[in-house]
Amino acid sequence: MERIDSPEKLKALQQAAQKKQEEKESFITMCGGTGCQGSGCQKVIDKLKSEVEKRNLSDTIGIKITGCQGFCEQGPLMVIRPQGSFYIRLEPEDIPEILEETIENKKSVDRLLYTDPESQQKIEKEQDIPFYKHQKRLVFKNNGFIEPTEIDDYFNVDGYSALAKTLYEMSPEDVIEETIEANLRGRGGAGFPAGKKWKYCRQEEAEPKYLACNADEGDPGAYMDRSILEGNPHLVIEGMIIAAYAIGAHQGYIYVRAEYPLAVKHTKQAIEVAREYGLLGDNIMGTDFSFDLEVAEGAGAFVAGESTALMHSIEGKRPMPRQTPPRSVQQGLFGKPTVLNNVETFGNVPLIIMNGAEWFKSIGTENSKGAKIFSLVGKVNNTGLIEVPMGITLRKIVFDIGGGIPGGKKVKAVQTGGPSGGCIPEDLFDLKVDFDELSEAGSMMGSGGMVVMDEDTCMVDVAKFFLDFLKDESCGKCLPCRNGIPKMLDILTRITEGLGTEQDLIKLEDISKTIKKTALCGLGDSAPNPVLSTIEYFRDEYEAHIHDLACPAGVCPELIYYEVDPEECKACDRCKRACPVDAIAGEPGGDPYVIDNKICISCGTCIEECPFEAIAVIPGQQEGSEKVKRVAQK
Amino acid sequence: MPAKNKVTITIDNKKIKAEEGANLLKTAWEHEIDIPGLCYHPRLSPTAACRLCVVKINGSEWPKPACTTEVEEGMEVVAFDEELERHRRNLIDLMLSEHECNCVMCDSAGDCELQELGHRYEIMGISPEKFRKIYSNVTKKHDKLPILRHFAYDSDESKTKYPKESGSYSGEPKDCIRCGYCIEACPNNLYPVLIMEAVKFEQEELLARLSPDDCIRCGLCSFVCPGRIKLPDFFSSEKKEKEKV
Repeated sequence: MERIDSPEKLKALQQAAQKKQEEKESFITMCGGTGCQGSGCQKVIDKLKSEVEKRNLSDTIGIKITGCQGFCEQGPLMVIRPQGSFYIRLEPEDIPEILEETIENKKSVDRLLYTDPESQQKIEKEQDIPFYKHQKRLVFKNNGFIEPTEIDDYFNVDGYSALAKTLYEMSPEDVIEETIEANLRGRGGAGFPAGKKWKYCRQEEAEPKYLACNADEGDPGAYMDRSILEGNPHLVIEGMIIAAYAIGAHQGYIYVRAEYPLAVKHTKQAIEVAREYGLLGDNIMGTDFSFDLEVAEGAGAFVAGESTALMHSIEGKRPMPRQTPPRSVQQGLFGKPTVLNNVETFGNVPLIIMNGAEWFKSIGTENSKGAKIFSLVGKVNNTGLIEVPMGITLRKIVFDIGGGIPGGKKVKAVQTGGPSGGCIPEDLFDLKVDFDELSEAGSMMGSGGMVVMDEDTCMVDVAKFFLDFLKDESCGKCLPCRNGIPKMLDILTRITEGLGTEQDLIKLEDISKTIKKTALCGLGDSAPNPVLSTIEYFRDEYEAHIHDLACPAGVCPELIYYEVDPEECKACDRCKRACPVDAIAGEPGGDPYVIDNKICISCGTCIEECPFEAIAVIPGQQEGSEKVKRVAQK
Repeated sequence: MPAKNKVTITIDNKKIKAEEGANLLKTAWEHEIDIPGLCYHPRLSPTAACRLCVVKINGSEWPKPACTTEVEEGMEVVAFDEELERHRRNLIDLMLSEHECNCVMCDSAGDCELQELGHRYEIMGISPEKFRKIYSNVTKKHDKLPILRHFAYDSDESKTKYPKESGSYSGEPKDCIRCGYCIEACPNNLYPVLIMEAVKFEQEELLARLSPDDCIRCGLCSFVCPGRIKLPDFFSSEKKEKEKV
């Protein structure tokens, strides 16, 4: 393999890749991302390959297995280019029809197209689907076009041009200036300006300097870093080389959690290939700049995503955060100046270098520029990965891109920023999503998790869920986080069991403040956010739990009871047979059944079983059979 | 070493001359400003784990631990105000919530900083002085044990005043307050507290990963332990088990 030793050589390779691409008549791109793998895309891919082989189409048709295309809800996904037909929810049986209709007759297969839920119209092209139409894809732009393990595909989309521009036309100071000018803020959570961080690190005198990439994504339901590394690892590598050039580092690490085997595999392969082309290692692109990368695999501790803990982990120690200062740009990895940025931050760097700071600044709000990837999950129709310009409203994300709430339910809140973010209620949905507005509302940008909750979600239960997660993930080093979170969880559990008092709310807020102000690292600092934000916006729910002994959303088992609607019940006996504690009485075909709430444990099995929807959940305590009393007696 | 610059700092409106770059918590203690702190040991690198020594520096809204802060010229420190004291009280409350508090049976009682703080923040009923008064008739040894604060000062005076009695500690894992001293002290970078717990709670998988065989029996971990836990005892019991097999 030839090493790239000049920009001209790169240009030649890019042109060769384009030429190779043009030889094929059309391309079938199948999403091979994690979401689609889960929906069974591998079988479809196998079928597609064997069918193409069988029909002798290999010369005219190219098949690309890409990284995540984002619309995970509708997977497995397929796009046929240049027609642009976008097929969803594929089964292996659909392949012959697609090959006949779309490839040979150039017609689209109607039944596999996306149906717009509002107008019930079939939409053929990807860019016309509301889910994609309202997005602004920068980092994710090429995810659906390129095969992650093929560097030729990356060359074809002008890959590594930004690196050539950096090395041959810009000084390290220029790169830093450009990044500061673009106001690229770290996408990992805190939103610290990346350019400034690089500048501070460059100013440090100690040598060597290190560069690290944080791909230890641990938020429940968030998977954007994983998808970038799986789908377009060269973009991140290119961004890292540029950053290394800017700060003067010669060794870098990509810290990926080992639970992301595909991301690890693709990143390692990409590093290997980049080395062969002379894009990593000594004398990159024929200049005297040298930089090499290594993948460090994490063992899956959530706290290892915290910068100092991550560095301890790379050094081979337990991932426990330490007190800053000294900050990592002064004393990071192995005690040397280190810049740590998130995957998505590095993914933005080549784009800024290529298109300039002015272009980047034209997207977004005053203090938050560019676009941000969110993983939209929870009670929303279109779950998946979305990249939207900063400053878009939550309402637009949930209703236009997300397609609203399933089952015609009402939306209650959106939880942003992962387990340590806060819940934003529906009446604040018009706030603009950027770093500052979110933290003003008591939440945070975080790494970009976005969990939509509908009216059936109990906010006390949500707070409890996140604290339970954080309790397990606390490293146990500092006192407020180690003991404070379990204490808060205890109080919340009491409240959900109906044993809470008004005093508990005061206590919760008090401990929250102590944890927030005194915890050692970011995990502890932000751990009380779910509690504080739910108390602020949903105080009535907490009060209903405490004073009325009722869970308004019908979630907490001790604060609800079930009742059979005698008019709907057909005495079919299914609920009685399903009940694990024999709490339902009645005879098949006889009178309507009755639930004895003295015995019932509110497991919900009967509701699932009932074909007539005759069983209702009623918040509160049934007279004579108060469940809270039972808990108290225990 | 060249002489350090003397600088002036203010702690709670009290002007103090201190060496530039000195540890703020140590400086405060030397000037009899009793900022609570359970995890700072002048001979070990600070871990900043207990968070009791948080102070507000130069009017910052976010408190920082004094034990990891270096003294700078003109520094203005708020060490005691209503908010900080409330945080400290909450923190001690939290620490005591997981602590055995079996003072009557504990060897550290009467010479226990946690006990002292519990009393100071009115969470615990009995002060070390009162405790000594009542119980010194029962066990004489409490009179002679070094007060940890003096020990921490590392002054020659404290050595003569309070001779260290060796082998007088008999702590149990439940006495651990997770100050992190033992981890910092271990010359082989082991995690003594985790090894102890893994042995105690029979977590063999965890134990294997902590490589207890690397222990060189130097005893530093138990020497620095404020709970006087005999950490190496747990290691050797493990070793005996292995030899038996």
